[in-house]
Formats: sequence, structure tokens, C-alpha cells
Amino acid sequence: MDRLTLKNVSAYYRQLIVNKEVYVRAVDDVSLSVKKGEVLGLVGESGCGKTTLSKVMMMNINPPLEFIKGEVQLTRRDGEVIRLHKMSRRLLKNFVWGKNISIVPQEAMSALMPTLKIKRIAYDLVRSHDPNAKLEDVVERLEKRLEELGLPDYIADRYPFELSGGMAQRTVIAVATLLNPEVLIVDEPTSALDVLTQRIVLKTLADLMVKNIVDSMVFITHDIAIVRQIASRIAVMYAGKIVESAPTEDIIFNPLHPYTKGLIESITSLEPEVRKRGVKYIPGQPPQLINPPQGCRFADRCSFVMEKCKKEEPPLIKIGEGREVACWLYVKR
Amino acid sequence: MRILLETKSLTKVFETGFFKRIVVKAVDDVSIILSEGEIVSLVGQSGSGKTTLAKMILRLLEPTSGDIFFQGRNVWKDLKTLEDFKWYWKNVHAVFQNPYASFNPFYKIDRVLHQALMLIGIDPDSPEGDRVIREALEVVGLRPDETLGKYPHQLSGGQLQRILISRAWIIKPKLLLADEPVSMLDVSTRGKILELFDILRKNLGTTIVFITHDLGLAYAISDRILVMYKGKIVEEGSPDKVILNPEHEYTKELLKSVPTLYKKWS
Amino acid sequence: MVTERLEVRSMKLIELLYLLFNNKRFIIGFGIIFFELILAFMGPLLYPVDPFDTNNPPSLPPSEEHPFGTDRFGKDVFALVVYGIRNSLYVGVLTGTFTILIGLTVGLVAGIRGGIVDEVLMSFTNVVMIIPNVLLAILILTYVGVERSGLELVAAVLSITTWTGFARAVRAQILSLREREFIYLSRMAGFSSIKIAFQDLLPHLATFILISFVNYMNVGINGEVGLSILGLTSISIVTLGKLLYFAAITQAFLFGQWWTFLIPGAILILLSASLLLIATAIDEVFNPRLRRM
Ligand SMILES: Nc1ncnc2c1ncn2[C@@H]1O[C@H](COP(=O)(O)OP(=O)(O)OP(=O)(O)O)[C@@H](O)[C@H]1O
Ligand SMILES: Nc1ncnc2c1ncn2[C@@H]1O[C@H](COP(=O)(O)OP(=O)(O)OP(=O)(O)O)[C@@H](O)[C@H]1O
Ligand SMILES: [Mg+2]
Ligand SMILES: [Mg+2]
Repeated sequence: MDRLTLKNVSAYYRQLIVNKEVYVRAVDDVSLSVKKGEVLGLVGESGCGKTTLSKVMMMNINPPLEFIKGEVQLTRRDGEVIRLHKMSRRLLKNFVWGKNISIVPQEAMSALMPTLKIKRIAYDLVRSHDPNAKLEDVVERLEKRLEELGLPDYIADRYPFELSGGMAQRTVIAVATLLNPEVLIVDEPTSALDVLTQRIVLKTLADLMVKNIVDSMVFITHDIAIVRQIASRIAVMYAGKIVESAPTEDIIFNPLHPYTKGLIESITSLEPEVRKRGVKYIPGQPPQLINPPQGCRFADRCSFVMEKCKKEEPPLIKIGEGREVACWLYVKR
Repeated sequence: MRILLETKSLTKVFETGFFKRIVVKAVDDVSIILSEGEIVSLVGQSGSGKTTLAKMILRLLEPTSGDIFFQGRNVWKDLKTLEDFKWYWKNVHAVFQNPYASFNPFYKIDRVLHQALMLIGIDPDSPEGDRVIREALEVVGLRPDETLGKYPHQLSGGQLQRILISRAWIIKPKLLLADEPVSMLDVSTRGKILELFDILRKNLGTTIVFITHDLGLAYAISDRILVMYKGKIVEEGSPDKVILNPEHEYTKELLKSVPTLYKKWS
Repeated sequence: MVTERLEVRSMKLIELLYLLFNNKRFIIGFGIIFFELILAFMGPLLYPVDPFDTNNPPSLPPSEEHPFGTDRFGKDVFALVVYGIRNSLYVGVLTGTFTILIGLTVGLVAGIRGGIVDEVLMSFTNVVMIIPNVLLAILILTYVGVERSGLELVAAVLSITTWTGFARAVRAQILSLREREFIYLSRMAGFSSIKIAFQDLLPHLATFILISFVNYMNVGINGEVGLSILGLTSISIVTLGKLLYFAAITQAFLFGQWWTFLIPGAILILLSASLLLIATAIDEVFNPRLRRM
């Protein structure tokens, strides 16, 4: 069953360049669904629109970002379907964010107000949904959640800067899931952490699923080796579009899209397979998002490029069970 | 190989807490030697003191005790005037860990690049300055027209990180301390940046201290690896020695936690 | 929730003004101030009556000829009020400026220099903090001589003890900014401390400074009232506080001459209230947490 469904959504940044208004097409015609009990890994190059897509999933659209088209639907635990793209910002803030869908943002550690204690931050969050919430109740709840995630409960009384990176990251996770949202989005939760701490944070996130605190998760990262440890499915994003999505094992062992292949081959882990081939990368750079080329956006860097790729955009087609890819190589003629 | 920078028993103790004094020995008696043209990786857990060590070398944080010598000059005792400092920072520069905090949100990102130009004595408003900036952005895989004139919040984390690297590219210091410089870049872009470090080293003999928690990366690119643990350097040697035959318990533990691509953890 | 902090900071001036003028508190506060400013500056032109002219009949209630009546000495209350607003605002602005200047300098220097300079300055601040301010004001004003002291001195006397809280707050903010990477990058570009203070630190403090300024203006206006009531300011300078003081010593209340104290009192309260409204509004607009959480 789908928890979160995106249908053909586009969201552009409006930008002024030398007195001319242009659009930065950071999310362009994306369809995606996150199922119940699933951790979806969202990977892609820096600047390809992952963070923007996370904003769309929340329908947290602020100028200069504009929602151009599409549908964003969330199915609640009680079965009711809410259409986020139809709701006002105020409604979303009071009834949806934090409660049905929540996010741990990319700059999570600097996003905690440095002058407030953790319990105060949690209290503000809860109160935005329930103006009558009492501080004691929230603190009790927070301490319980911290404990569930293996954190000491005295953290509630600390200021954010008194916590180490890993602790701060996990605290943000605890606060974001305080109201047991159906869907949790985590944006680059491990990129600033060392390997030991990364492992602990991953465990914390896995616990959220095991303990049914959240139903589904979207894990945004550029590090495939990390996301493969936790994701059941991986979607690969390139220049504002989803180019491939498949179960994790398929992506790792049998990537279809040339970009995904390049990604997998560039990974440096300490395994013999990797050591033999050395550090690789995909030459060239992604197209600009202001005036993207009309054909496939990866065409410039692709080693399998054909005539057709430069003219027509490949559709995202279904290939086998739960696999989708947008590449002319796989379109049967 | 000629010695470029040397630290002698460098120690930094932080005292925090208002009523109850908490003493943290962030860097504890560290003596290292950096030679010209080598890439040294500094790895270690969060809070092990890597950034603190780098800040002291950068002359941004005064050591509690110990000395730093750069080309024979004592960095904290012999440099006195602003001109001395400028000379030093022209030669020793950094890319910081947190790209979001590296930009003053009130200014366009051009500012950090203009600062670099001023440091090396080029007028940012001259055609020459413009050319240098554009070249530096292209080198890190950013399109100048899409990047210049934007405020930091209009760019992604990885783009900000690459702007900071292009700043270092403009300055071309003799010693570059790069603190997690590619933490927000995906693998397909990362390779390009790592190649830049290699070009700097090969063409200009730049020494690079690469601070990272990514052992795979450290293994792949460095000539030497230093493992830091609780403020001390606990292991040091060639990548093959440190990664394949680690001696210290901590290094072994660290290696076990590196995420693997083809195998999933239990 | 926690996501939105970064986005708000680098807004354009126009956007800020737009937000300010969409804020009810700001509009009300600004409206009152604007009205009083018009009164203070245009008043003497529109209503050319000498406030020191004692040739009118004394203690007249409001009439067509004297819209706010006259006082016991036959002075026209409307003309007095017009002068009073101007002087009260003047003493407020001066107090605000002095307080901010002293506090900012001490806070910035202590925060940026750190070490021994910081310790000395902060000890000094703490000492000033415990000096009883009224006592000091009495001492200074009586030493100089009440008759010879102008509004500038009054503002100075008020500022000399009130800057401490502001200085400490500035220092605390500097300390939290000082370790940010963008400061390091400016330092490593060879920027001097002063350049960094102006280019990197001050913009972060701007809203706080603005809010404090408005608050200290209020302190100045009300402080002057307090000093007038103690008889510590020169009688020849008309301020709203002075009008109340005169009304009190001439026992206007007993004689039922409400126009001599109710009108200046109401205007004074409106002035303070509007300044507070503006300060809160600025805080609401500039402080992302209040704006959006
Ligand atoms: N406020 C803005 N105005 C204009 N363009 C923007 C704005 N914010 C982001 N962009 C652009 O939109 C694109 C997508 O940005 P986004 O932050 O979603 O990338 P990302 O995939 O999360 O990257 P990273 O992995 O580096 O965090 C980038 O090219 C960026 O430059
Ligand atoms: N300004 C400071 N005041 C007090 N303690 C500090 C300060 N800066 C760092 N520390 C402490 O010093 C220790 C080392 O910190 P440092 O930032 O050097 O670690 P690191 O190895 O860079 O970690 P990470 O991988 O998380 O960046 C930590 O325990 C930290 O809490
Ligand atoms: Mg992002
Ligand atoms: Mg660090």
C-alpha cells in the first residue's frame, strides 16, 4: 500500500538573472511512491534536486520555490487519503507536518535554535499542532522517545551546542518523530559523521521502523554504500528527474541506467572488488537546470549515447517487478 | 622530501562550563611532520580533535602548549603583523568542514572568492579577476553563470562545498588543510575534486592534509594516513600498512564500521 | 519546524519593509509615531503660538482659541505639547544612541578581543550594573547644576547606567558567532578585526540593535519624566514629562484642570506604547522563530 505518492510533480525556483526571470527546474515531472513499511533511498548528484524534492514531499513550498504541477498524496494510518497539494500552508503546518510527515533537514545540526533547550524545541513543535499541550507532557514524551532510541534522557535539558554531532543528529530524529508521523524524510543524515557514529545513526533510523514509530522512510543521500544498508528500494535522481528506481539489490548488482552504473562504479569502499578498479568518476557535469537540453539529460556524459537520446526525452518505463528506468536502451521498438 | 610544516608537542585544552569547569584535552601532545607534495589523510572519530588540530595549524586557535614551524618560522611566535599573517594564509589555507556555516548569509557567494583574489593581490573587479573566478568555478564543475551572484541559501550543500574548494584553487597555497571537503558530494562528482588535489600536488608540489572519516577515500588517495583518537595520533603509516595491517585496536574498530557496498551488515 | 531558519536571513530590504507594513502592530505603532512626528515638526508652523507666552488668561479649559486650554501661568497647552513631543523624542533618540554606542563598543571589543580585555570589560560592566542609577543621576545633575543641564546631559546621565545589559547581550552573540567558519574565512583573507566586526558581525546584530534602540528610546523618554518629577532637569526645557511635573506642582488635579495633565499624559503613554509596538513588530518580522514556527 502506498503511503506517499507523487504524481508528475514539478517545482521550480524562480530566479532573476540580469533582469530576466528564469526558472531553475530543480524537480521536473517526478512520479514516485513510498510504500508502507518501506525505506526508500533517494540518491543523486549534488544539486540534482534531492532537497527540493523533499520539500515537495512535505509541500513545504516557499518563494522562490514554486509548485508548478502535480499531485502529492499521503495515506494516513486510518486509511484516509490527504491531498497535500490542495492544502494551505497553515493547514499543513497545524495538521500535517510533524504529525503525518516529518523531516530531518540536511543542515539539521545548525537548524536547532542554539538558544533553546531541546525540550523547549520539542514543546514548540508539539504546540504548533496542539496549542493546549503541556510542557511536562511533552518532556515526558520526549524523554521516552530519547530512551527508545538509545539516548540518555538528560538530553532534553541540554542546549543543542552541548551535544556532539552524532548526538545532535539523533536528537533531531527523536524530536522529528515525536508525534509518530507516518512518513519520515531524512536528508543526508550521516554525511557529517564519522563511520562509527554513522553506524549508530543508521541503527537509530532502523529502530524507528522496527518499533513502528514511523511507517515509511525516505532516506536522501549521495552515499550509496550507506543507504544500501537500510533501504529496501533505491531511486536515482539526475538533474531534476528520477532516472531509475528498483529494489536495492538490483541497483547494486545489476544497475540498468548508464548513470546508475557510473555511480556504482565510482564508489570507494574497502572491499577487494572496489580496490582493484581504483577511484573512478563520471566525467563532465550535469546540464544546467535553467534550460535543460530537450533530450535525455544524461546524454552528454553517457557512453552509450544514441542519436535519439539527444532529441527525445526517454520516458520512465516499467521493467520487471518493481523496476523502472528512463533510458532509450531499454525501450523495445 | 623537504619538510614543509612541523608540529611539536601540540596540545589544546578547552575549559568550558561556567560553574563546574569541564576540561577537554582536544589535542594531546601531537608531533607530526608534513613534507612538500604529499597527501596525508587524517582520520578519526567525531570529536577526536582533527578540526582543532587543523585550526591551530591555520593560526586560528592558539595552542595551549607546543609549537608549529612552517618553513622554519614559528607560526605562533614569529608572525606578528597583519602582513605576516597574510603571507602565512596565502601559503596555508583551508576548506572547512561545514559548508553551510562557511558563508555569511548576508552576502552573495562571490564574496569568498573575491577575498581569495584580494589575498593573492588581484583586483576582484578587474577582467583578470573575473576570469580567474570563472576558471576556478569551472574547475570544480560549477557553471559560473549559474553560481555567481547567488546567496548561499540558493545553492545546494554540495555546490557550496565546491565553491570553497574553488577558493582554495584560486589561492593555491603550499599547504591545504581540507576538512571533510567532499562530505556532501556524490561519488560521481567527488572523483573530479580528488583529481584536483592530485593536480595541485603534481604541478605545484602542494601538500594536502585530507581530513575525513571516509577510510575508503583515505585509502585510495593518500600517501600516508594518520589515525587520531582522543586527541592523540595513535597510528601512522602508508595506506597499505594502516588499512591492511592495522595495529591499534581503534583502527581495527574503525575499519569494521566502514559501510560496504556489496555486503549488507547483519 | 526546524527547517526554515536559514531561509529568512538574507532577505532584501524591500521584502522586509513589505513584511513590516503587513504587520498590524507595526502599522499601529508606526501610525502613532508618524502622527506625533507630524505634530512635533509641523505643529509650530500650523499653530504658530509661542509656548512661553504668559499673556493668555490662566487655567482656561479647551476652547476654540486654545484647543488644549491654558495652564496656571497662562501658557497655551497645545503649543507646550507640540514642543514637549519634540524634546521628548529628542531625549529618547539621544538616550538610544548613547546607550547603543557605549554598549555596542564594549560588547564588540570584549567579544572580539576576548582574553584579558574581555575579563576587564566584563568586570567593569558588572560594577556599573550594580551602581544605583537614580543616585548617580542625582549626583551628576546636582553637581553640574540643574539649571545648566540640557537634554543632552539628561540623555547621557540615563545612558551611563543602562548600557550594561545591552553590552552583555552583544558580547554573548559575538561569542557564538566568533567560532563560525565564515569568520575564519574572512580572517584568513587577511581582514582586520575591525573589518570583520563591520562586515561579518554587525549584520547579524542589526535587528537586535534596532529593537534595543527602540527600547532604549523608551527608557530615555520615561527616564526624563522620572528626573523631571524629582526636579532634576532644567525648567526652561519643555518636555512631556515636564508638563506633567508642572501639572503636579500646581495641583492641577485638585483644581480639576484635567487638560493640563491628561493630554500630555495620554500622548506620553501613546508614544511609549507605540515604540514598544514597533519593537515587538520588528522582532516578529526579523526573528524567524516568531515568524514561522
Ligand atoms: N533558492 C534557490 N534559488 C534558486 N535556485 C536554487 C535555490 N535553492 C536551490 N536551488 C538550485 O536548485 C538545484 C537543486 O538544489 P537542491 O538543494 O535540491 O540539491 P540537492 O540535490 O539537495 O543537492 P546536495 O546533495 O548538494 O544537497 C540546485 O542546482 C540549486 O542550485
Ligand atoms: N570551542 C570549543 N570549546 C570547547 N570545546 C571544544 C571547542 N571546540 C572543540 N571542542 C571539543 O574538542 C574536542 C575535539 O573537537 P574537534 O572539533 O577537533 O573534533 P573532530 O575530530 O574535528 O570531530 P568531527 O569529526 O566531528 O568534526 C571535542 O570533544 C569538542 O567537543
Ligand atoms: Mg540537499
Ligand atoms: Mg571536525
